[in-house]
Amino acid sequence: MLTGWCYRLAAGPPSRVTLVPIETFFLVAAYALFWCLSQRLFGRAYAGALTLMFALGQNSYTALESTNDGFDTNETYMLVPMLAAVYAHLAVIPPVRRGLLRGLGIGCALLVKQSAAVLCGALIVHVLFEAVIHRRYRPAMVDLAMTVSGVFLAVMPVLVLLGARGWLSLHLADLRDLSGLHVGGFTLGVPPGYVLLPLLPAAWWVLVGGLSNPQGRFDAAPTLSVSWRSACVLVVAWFGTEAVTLATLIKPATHYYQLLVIPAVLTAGFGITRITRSLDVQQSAGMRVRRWVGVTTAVLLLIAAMPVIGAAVRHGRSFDRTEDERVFSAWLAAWPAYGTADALRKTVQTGRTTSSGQP
Amino acid sequence: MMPNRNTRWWVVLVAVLIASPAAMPAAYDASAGVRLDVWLVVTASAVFASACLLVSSRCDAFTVWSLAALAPLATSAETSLTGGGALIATSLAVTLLDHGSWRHAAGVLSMSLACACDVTAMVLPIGCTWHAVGTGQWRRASVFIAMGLAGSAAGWWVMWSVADPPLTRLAVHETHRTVMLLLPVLMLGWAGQAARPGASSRADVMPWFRVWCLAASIGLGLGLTGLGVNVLLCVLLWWWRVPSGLADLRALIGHSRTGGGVRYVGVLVGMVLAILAVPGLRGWFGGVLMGWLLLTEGM
Repeated sequence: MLTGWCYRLAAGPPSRVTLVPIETFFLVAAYALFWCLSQRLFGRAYAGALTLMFALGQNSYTALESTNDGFDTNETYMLVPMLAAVYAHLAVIPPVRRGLLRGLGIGCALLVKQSAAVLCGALIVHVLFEAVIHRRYRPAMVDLAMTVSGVFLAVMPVLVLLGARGWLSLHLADLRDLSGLHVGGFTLGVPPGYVLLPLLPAAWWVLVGGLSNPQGRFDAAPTLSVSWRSACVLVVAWFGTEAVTLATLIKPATHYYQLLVIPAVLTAGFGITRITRSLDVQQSAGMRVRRWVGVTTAVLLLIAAMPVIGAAVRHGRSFDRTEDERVFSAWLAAWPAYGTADALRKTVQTGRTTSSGQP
Repeated sequence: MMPNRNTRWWVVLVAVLIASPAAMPAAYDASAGVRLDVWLVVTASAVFASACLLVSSRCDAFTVWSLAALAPLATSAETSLTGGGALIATSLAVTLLDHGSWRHAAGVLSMSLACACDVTAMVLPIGCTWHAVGTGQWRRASVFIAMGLAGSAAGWWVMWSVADPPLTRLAVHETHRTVMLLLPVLMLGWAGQAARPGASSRADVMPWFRVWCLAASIGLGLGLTGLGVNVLLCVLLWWWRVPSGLADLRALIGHSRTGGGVRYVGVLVGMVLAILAVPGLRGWFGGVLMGWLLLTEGM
């Protein structure tokens, strides 16, 4: 439905080129939102570098995608609502507004793809965790009630529209049958190295930050709704849950890793903040550590950028608009917008029949 | 080991021994075997550049040998002859430009020659011009850019008249492979440049070195996108900063708790550097094996 609206907004011949401005809009909005979130969490000094890591990760995982060259993936459209939910959760102080915004973000993200359930779970568990730690149960209940209201507000118009068109039962049946289609246990094993490359700079900051010994307390964070340490726990737990979810998938598609980028880069932000608080930059030794952490980060960013640059150049050089329009038209004919779920079900059934060797 | 006047010849001799096998992959052609002319040019240019580095900066033997090993590996077979010429002329220009009088003039001429061999060497006149404009030396700036453009135009004209047109596009994965080989140098060079070394290195008296590095960074970025940029020439300038980078790294590793609260950073950086050096080492051992096989089984 979202893609259909995109075509209404940017009419043109059926080609992936038509999608470029639309996806660019969604991605740029996500970069802006991520910069705001990083700036609130870690300050302006690191927001730029973290946003660069975020953009590099997102574009790497879309550019390395082999099925549809990374175009029109739900994970790209989910970024803005997911980031809005996290921003509301961590950076909006008034509880009613926080809960409502968080619910709206989660609701919109869930409408795009059910993968947002991981974030939804992480945020709800964090609210309950905070309530238990601080023994403030009533505000937490209000917070959760507002979140549910937000989700309801986001989902309701779509449900009404589907009901008015008579598609609601079909979509609910699809939701029941097709959800978790690609989840099947830990069968893929360790991902190949090139898939992990985009996360290399973030991993470096996490590693060095983890080994550092910061001085002073971290709890003073007047611009956040939770303590700095609690925000760190949330982000690390979210990253772990996303990683475990990824490990259970049976389809090795790189665009699934897009959801890993936000918590990974935010974790890196906590790492670099720990390093900064550990160093005395007035001393030459502190300056030296800072210099080497920076230089190593720059080199790792260069390594991480190479696959996406290579893919972009290869796509750019070999792109043929006429051929693309032909292929895209064939896709549209085979996968009509109103029957995509049916087509997917048929594809899956055909695949199962073929693999079992029975007619 | 810091070579003095008496041990310099030994360092250069070892550089020859290191560069010889490293030039094998660039000189090998599946149909014609090892092309001796290409092998000689690639080896000689790498050794010459190493000797220039040794003379113009007080660096240790390790840095000189790393240039002798990596420069041939970073030379592709298609551009080996002109690339070798550009390497020689660029390193000569870097060596001569920080001197006064006739040596400076020779450095400018060498810079122009480097541009003729490979247009990537324009990073030198662009860097010099940039710096001269910044300091109000308009006459010098115009000389630098005129010499660079004249050299590039001459090289372009010769290329068009005697050979195929100059390369404007390279296979991206080839360029990335070369950059991966040179990453340890980039890392040490960047750190060395940022460390503001003392007066131990003569390269520090070059006021335009920082601007050179900036121009070379832009060139490197263009090379990564597959444009016909010789990334070896872009990275070459940072070899002059590797000695100070190495000294800084030694100081970092020397303290177990450097910087107050950040532990093991030196060890971690050393490990990253060692991992980054693996492609270069593998390439060099590949060259040694290739040379050994060719010697034992005939060319």
